Amino acid sequence: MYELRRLLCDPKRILLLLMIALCNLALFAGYCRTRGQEDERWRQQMAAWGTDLDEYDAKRAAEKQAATEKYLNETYPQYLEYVQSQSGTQSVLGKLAAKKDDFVQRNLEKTAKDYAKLEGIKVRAGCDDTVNAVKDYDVTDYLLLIAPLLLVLSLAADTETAVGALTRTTKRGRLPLCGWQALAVVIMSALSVLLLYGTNIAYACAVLGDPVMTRAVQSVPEFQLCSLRLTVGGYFLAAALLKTLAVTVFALFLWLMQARIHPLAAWSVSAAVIAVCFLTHKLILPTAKLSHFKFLNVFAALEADVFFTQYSNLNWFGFPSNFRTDMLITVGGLCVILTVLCLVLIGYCRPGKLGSKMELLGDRLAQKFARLTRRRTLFGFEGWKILIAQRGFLVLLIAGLLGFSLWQQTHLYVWVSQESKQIYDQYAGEVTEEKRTDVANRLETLANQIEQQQARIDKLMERGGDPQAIANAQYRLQKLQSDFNLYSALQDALQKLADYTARTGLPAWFIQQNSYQLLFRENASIRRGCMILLLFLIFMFRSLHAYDNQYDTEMLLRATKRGRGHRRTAAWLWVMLLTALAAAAIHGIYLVRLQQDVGFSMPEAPAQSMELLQWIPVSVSLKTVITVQLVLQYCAALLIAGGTVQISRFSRTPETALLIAMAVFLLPSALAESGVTQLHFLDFVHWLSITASS
Amino acid sequence: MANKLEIRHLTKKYGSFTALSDMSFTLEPGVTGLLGANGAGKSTLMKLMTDHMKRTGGEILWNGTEILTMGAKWRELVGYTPQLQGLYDEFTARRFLYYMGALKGMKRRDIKTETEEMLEAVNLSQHAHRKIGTFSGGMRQRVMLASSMLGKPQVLILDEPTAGLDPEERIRIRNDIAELARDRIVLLATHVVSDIACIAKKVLLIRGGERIAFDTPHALLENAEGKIGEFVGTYDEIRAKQAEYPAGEIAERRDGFVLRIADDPLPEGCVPVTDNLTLEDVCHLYLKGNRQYV
Ligand SMILES: Nc1ncnc2c1ncn2[C@@H]1O[C@H](COP(=O)(O)OP(=O)(O)OP(=O)(O)O)[C@@H](O)[C@H]1O
Ligand SMILES: [Mg+2]
Repeated sequence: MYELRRLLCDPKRILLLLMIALCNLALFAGYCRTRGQEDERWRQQMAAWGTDLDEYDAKRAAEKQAATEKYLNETYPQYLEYVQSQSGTQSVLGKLAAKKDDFVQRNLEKTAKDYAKLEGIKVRAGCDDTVNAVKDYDVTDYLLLIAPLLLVLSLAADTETAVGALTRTTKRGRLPLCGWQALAVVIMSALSVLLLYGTNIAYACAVLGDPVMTRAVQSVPEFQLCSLRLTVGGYFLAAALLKTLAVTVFALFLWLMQARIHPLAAWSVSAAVIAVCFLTHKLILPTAKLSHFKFLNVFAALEADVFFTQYSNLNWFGFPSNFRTDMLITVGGLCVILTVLCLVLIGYCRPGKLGSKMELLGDRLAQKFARLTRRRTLFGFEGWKILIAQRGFLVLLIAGLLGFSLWQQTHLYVWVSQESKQIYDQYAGEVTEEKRTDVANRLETLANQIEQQQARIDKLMERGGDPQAIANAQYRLQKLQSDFNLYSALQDALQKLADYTARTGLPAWFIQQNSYQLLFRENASIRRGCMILLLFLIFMFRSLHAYDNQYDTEMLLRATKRGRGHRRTAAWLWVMLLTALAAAAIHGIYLVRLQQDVGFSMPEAPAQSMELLQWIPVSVSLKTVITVQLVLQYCAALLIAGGTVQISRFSRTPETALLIAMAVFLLPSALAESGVTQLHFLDFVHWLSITASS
Repeated sequence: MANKLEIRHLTKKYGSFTALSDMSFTLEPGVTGLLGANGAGKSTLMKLMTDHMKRTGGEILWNGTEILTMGAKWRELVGYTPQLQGLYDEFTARRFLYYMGALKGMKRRDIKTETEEMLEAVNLSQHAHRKIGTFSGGMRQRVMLASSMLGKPQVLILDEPTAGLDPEERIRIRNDIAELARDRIVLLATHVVSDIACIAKKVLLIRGGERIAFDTPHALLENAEGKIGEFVGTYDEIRAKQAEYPAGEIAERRDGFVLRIADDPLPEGCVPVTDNLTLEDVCHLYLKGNRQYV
């Protein structure tokens, strides 16, 4: 009991957990904002082209409503019917064919039986977006792991130290103690899930809308395949339980590895196992023959959404078995087995580590490696300290994973209508007198055509002509009118640009601005990336100096020839390098995505072509502005890295530095991100994503 | 010309507390022992000599040049073993020495050969691939010592380098230091007086941040003659006497119990010792109290 309190009520640990929860909230909030962003951007574009927004919104809402109703009243009931009928017809066919491999047959029957349980289910409308946002956001799943894994690492480290040796000599210091520790791991996992996943749910409910917890989860189209009788609330609860189970499995596994196997071996084995699990889960398709590996996987349990949104029966020697049952058995079984193993191997057996020979091997390898890399320069050593001794490579790895998921989640499609595309093709570029007269002529023609069309309609009406013909004519009129609007908007735009050039003498072109708008204005997508960047900087550089402080080596190092200036310089070079790497990755991902999804047209155009950038007093191209913005963003990142380094310098241990840096940089940013607008000036994410417009 | 390290009127204050006052002496090649009670200012003196902290006053001259103006050039000449064991747990012994080599700006080739040499010297060759985190206290101390001797610096400043070593290792290392000190300046602070007695050319006694004596061991012993004496008697008598001389040492000999004390002049009834005086006696005489050395 005392052990439990010691492990769970440690203020540092609690603080860390809260910090993680806050980061998660900030990231999730950003995510929710990006979800709505596409719509919003489209709306604004519509507004720019002269559409009445109220009308547009009403239309959209009606469309959505219709789609929902269609799903609830038609698609879903039909689907259920279809599953049942399928089994009937197929079974006749199957019997006729008398096939040897009758998995297909059995599968259909089982499917029908499973869905039969859903009979009489009532699906109703509610805010589906809330459920989907919570379901889709998978960064939380990885953040969930941090606190329990850290707990487990500290437990494993305890067995090494004098404390471990001391406690083991006491009466209740072995099995009972280990039992309490295992319980602490489970509680920590549950706590972590409750806090992080819980905030996501609460935030989504508050911001996106009421998901109506009591309706059947199948009311959400994404859950059409679910064959469980669950309400939305029940889904949240079940997902949380499943996640807790998965997190516990991860934690126990790592504990066992770290406590009983030599660190080098433990890290390699755990990394290999986890990588294999991750890849099999991600790469195998649900319909593949070997989908067993996809579904019977801790990652499947951790992400939890497949469990509820898929339906599949695994083929066990010709017999179908629902993957959900199998997954539960696998993960639950793993949990039990690992707990027992932990109790026996860590609690009961004497401490000692497998694979101590690894040490020799590891050192040989390291020596070979050292010979290869000639790590005898100060720069090399400082790098070694940051990346290996302070576990920076882990931070890099995790940041890489987050970056990858960011890459996958960033989509920046902007819909461009055929008409406007045509206009850009024709008129983009310098604003010439020729183009302007062309537009004016065009407008005149259009005005004439509208007049004529109007006259024609009037005539038709007068004559009481064919209603179909009238409707056609009216449609054509509408088309002409919208073209007219488009061209007059174009004329205004050209006029404005020409005026600007006349006023200031700076060139300004007419260009397709979509991608630049997204680049030069702060938006949720890039903010999310910058949040990751901020986390990276804090975690990477927390221990730069604190590591030396921790081991009290400052005095020794400072007494050497190159122990002052040179050493600092080497460390700083690393800071600059790693910061550059991270900043380039984050902003690069965004740039490349923009290029792919939207495309930069005419990067050589003058910056003043955009109203946003007309404050720039000299003539520069958009390309230059992009470069300058990137440099500024790098400087901002460097500033924060420098701040973290300073904090590290005055901290006794890396953990203290981490907590302080989080409190200084992350807290205000996370609060600002989650909606506390008063803190905007302390919003470091805003600094990192500094744009030409701000 | 032999190297010379001159300390002149060196003073250090921590706030209003004077840890070192007006210290002057000159070091020449050979081992100089530094003796002083806990808190006498030994480590402070050494930190000033490695330019780790700001001094309050005075100067330190290397062959006539102030070390502060020499900067990195001075630190290139110095090997230092701090009193606190500052070593990275994650480094192996060999990697740590390589790192120190890089910090000392040694040539890459030299780093390798000298590291192996030093590991041999401190008898750690077969453990060099192990992480320092798994080392015993004495082993760490030896790594530290090896790191300070790496690059064969002209000036070695060793703050209790033999603390925590077993007798055999201590003798080995003492011999290594003596060997190194033949053409180098070594300042060695320790509480193990016998270490100094064996190898020191000169001994610096300090008390409360002030210099008491700076002399050869021989001269110190001569000075102590007639100031060390013994009471002989039964155990109870000796116990009673010890109340007066808490620092006195009790031993049992064939002719009964003996209490050896240091005092000037010796009290009545105390037999002066003449033949087996040690530096330890000198320490008893000067390191506590306020007796002046003449
Ligand atoms: N950073 C500091 N701030 C304030 N006082 C200090 C500081 N460092 C040392 N002192 C004081 O200076 C005096 C000398 O300390 P120093 O460490 O030099 O002693 P020492 O001779 O090395 O002792 P020991 O034999 O215990 O190592 C002590 O009284 C100590 O309390
Ligand atoms: Mg000291």
